[in-house]
Amino acid sequence: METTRRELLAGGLGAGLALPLVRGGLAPSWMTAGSGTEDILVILQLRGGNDFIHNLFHPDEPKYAAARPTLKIPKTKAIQLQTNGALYLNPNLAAFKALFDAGDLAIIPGVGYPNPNFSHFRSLDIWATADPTATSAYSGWLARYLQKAYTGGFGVPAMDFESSLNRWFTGNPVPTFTSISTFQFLPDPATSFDRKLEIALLESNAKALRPLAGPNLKFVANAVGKTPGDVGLIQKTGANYKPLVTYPSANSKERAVSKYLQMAARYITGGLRTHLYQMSIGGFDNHANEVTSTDPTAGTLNELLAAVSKGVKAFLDDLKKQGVTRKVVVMVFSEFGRRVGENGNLGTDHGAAGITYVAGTPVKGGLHGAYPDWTKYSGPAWNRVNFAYTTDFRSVYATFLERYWLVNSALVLGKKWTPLSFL
Amino acid sequence: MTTQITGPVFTRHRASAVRGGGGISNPQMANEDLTPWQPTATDPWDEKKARHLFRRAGFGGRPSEIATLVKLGVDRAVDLFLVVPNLTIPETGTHMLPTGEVLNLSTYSGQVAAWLWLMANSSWQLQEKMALFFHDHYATGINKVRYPEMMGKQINLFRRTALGRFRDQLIAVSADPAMLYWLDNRLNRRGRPNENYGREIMELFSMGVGNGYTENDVKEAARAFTGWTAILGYFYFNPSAHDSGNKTFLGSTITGRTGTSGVLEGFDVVDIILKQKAPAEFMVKKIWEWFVYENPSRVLITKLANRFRQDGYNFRSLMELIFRSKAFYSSSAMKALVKNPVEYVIGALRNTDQRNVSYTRVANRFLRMGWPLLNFAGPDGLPDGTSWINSQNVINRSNFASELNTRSTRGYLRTVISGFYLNRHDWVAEAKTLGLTTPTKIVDHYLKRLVDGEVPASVRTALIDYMTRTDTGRLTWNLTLYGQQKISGLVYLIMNLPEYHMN
Repeated sequence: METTRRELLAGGLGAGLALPLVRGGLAPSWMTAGSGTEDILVILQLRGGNDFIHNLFHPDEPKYAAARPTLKIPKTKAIQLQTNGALYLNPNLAAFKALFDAGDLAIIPGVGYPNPNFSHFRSLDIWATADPTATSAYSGWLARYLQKAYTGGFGVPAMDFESSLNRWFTGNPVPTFTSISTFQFLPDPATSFDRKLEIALLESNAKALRPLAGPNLKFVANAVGKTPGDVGLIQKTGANYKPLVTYPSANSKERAVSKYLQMAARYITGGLRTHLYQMSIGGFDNHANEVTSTDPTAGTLNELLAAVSKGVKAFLDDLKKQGVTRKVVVMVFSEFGRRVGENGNLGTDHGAAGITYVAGTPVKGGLHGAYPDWTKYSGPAWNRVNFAYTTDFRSVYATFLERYWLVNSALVLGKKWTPLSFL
Repeated sequence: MTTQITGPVFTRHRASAVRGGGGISNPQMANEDLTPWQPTATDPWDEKKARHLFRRAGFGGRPSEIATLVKLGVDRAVDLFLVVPNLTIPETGTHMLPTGEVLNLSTYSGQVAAWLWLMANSSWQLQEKMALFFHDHYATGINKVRYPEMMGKQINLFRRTALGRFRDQLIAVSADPAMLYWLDNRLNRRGRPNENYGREIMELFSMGVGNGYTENDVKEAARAFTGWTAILGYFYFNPSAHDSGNKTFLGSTITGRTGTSGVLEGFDVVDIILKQKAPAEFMVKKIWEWFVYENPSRVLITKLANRFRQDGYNFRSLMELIFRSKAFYSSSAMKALVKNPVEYVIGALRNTDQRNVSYTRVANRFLRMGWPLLNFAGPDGLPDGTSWINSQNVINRSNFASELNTRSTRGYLRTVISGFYLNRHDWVAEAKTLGLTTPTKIVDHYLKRLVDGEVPASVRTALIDYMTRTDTGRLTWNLTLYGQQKISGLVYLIMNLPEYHMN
């Protein structure tokens, strides 16, 4: 059963999926992307709580030095963000500085929500659901976007490069995988005697009617039944992709970031209509040894920041060289920032406001939103002090909804949030 | 054809912390009845129920074990699971399995393989199942702990306390070297408190997020645990690092102590936590959702929690109550859960009674399925329920089933001893022993053994047809000629059925 990509994308796959979110039928051809509604967003989550103040800081602020006697980065090593400005970037974010100078990077310092929650998973849930009270809404904001606002009708609107489906997409048919090469069925390789038959049966058995099945069995049957279709799409699309720039690969952190960004690049350059790509990198929960004892610009967090910034820049450069004409934007965020002061173990404990980056050609670069005001905070117990948020994360989401995908953000977020000006 | 989105699918215990009860509930309903289930003429103790008990209290039965349970009757069958020895396994050095396979316990994969072997082969299945539950509960990872032996030691702790008391377990976990590394308490010192463990002992291990404690309680718990550290892989209480001031924790005062008796303040934290209402409810709900079904009603949880508290937080009593209850054998519980990767992999090995496998290889395949055993990325444990099932994991499970059942010896069964190959499972011999001569008999036997025969009729028909069909045409059934190829393929296909993913 050979299926061409065109058939797979336009009919074969979508028709087999029976998607609840397909409204108004399928687009006539896979090439006719929705008008402005399928601009691409790549989401990179920094898991564990990225220490915002170690990203962007005021080296001349005495409180910064007092709060972070061992973590502080001296001015001589830092990169001044704007001419004559007091804010400096961690030198490991040099690639971000280049994007910033080109006007392709928006930095939003102090992103968060009221009544900060210091639990990783609660805060991740809050970011996922866009609901800090989270008493009623349990679906991810992108799940709601796909169900209520997205009208493109493409059967695979999102991909999740995770080992289990991210809460953001819950309830939607999102292929979830961490490696393309292992994303295929391998029945009895010793012989081709009944191989095709086995794959066909695997699919048709799963699709057999089960009128009495409970919700979990229904869910599993649906997932098993649609996987062979996903395999075809994911193996065939972009098979000839080759990166046209060098992605960072100096250590395992850089290789992890590069791997997922290149997977996104493959499907984007392969012409797939998918417009949401989700990926994450862990290791940001640095209660200890965030930096090395001898160098505040070396060690775990610094390597992670270098990996993220170099990776994102390589990805955007690659797409440019590949001649991708669709709009592509990368959002980098973390579930929270960390305490203003260090904890004595070369680390920091869970905090409140964090930093969000949005990168890409469509972005209006610059600083958006205010850096928390040092004058409002005082020591000496700096390791108990939290920066309050200055920008609500739902305004960031509203920006994508209103200004990028041109949909009504209230459908997704429950009410209107004022978009920011980075798009 | 339209598919209704059946409401959002959530992680079970993660969501449970913020979710209310299950709505309207009626304590008289069978699915909430905690009184002992007893067989009747119309509802006998049979293979289906024995398999259910074995899947939940263990990792699935071998055919001979299921036959034994059926013979014993439900009371004795449950007894068999509840009695366990004070078992520990080697944590260091090399470990040789009965097949001759050598595992190096100073490597991560060696530790994973050793545990998977024990899960498949331990006679005390509930002990390993509870150890697995507690591993998820106290989710710890080699990525930060770094020493594989410490992870092995932590799992031994779970084995020893698996059916003991919650208090003893919480104290032992607080002093466990891997945990002291994982949540940084080894660095928690007077004047430089590290709050990580002080927070998680309440949020993740006992009370549930935001469930009756404040940020200040986190800070005070952290102060009480100052000085609990690890040296050379052993617990050590360092009096000079301990903050001996008084603490106000969950409304109680912990009197500061100096010298070595400062360690008692950690015990105080545990005791004060267990005086709250939240821990019993938090634990019974999590256990119920792991072992019985999702979203139990608040009435049921309150009832179970009261029992758990009255019994002195004794896990054995709790598990006994559960495994004997009518609720456990009700239709709400039977096959209502989705197998996690361990249940799928170990279940496949046990259901087909395959012993000649390389556990290094099993570990390698298992680790692709979304559960990084002994290597959690964060302290909040696993996603549960349907979140196991996505296209990648469907493929990984399928390919494991393919290797296990159908491949030639070279790929799957080679052990680390050079030149020695284990035998591939002999499906023809098995069929002959069982007297399975025709395709229909063979299909019905394996459908019954693996999924209680409960599949749509069209699936059974298609599988019978598969036995005499190839990619190019038909074959005339001949057990000797086609048995190995076709029976192994049949078992592979059954293990791909949605029904086989259910627990």
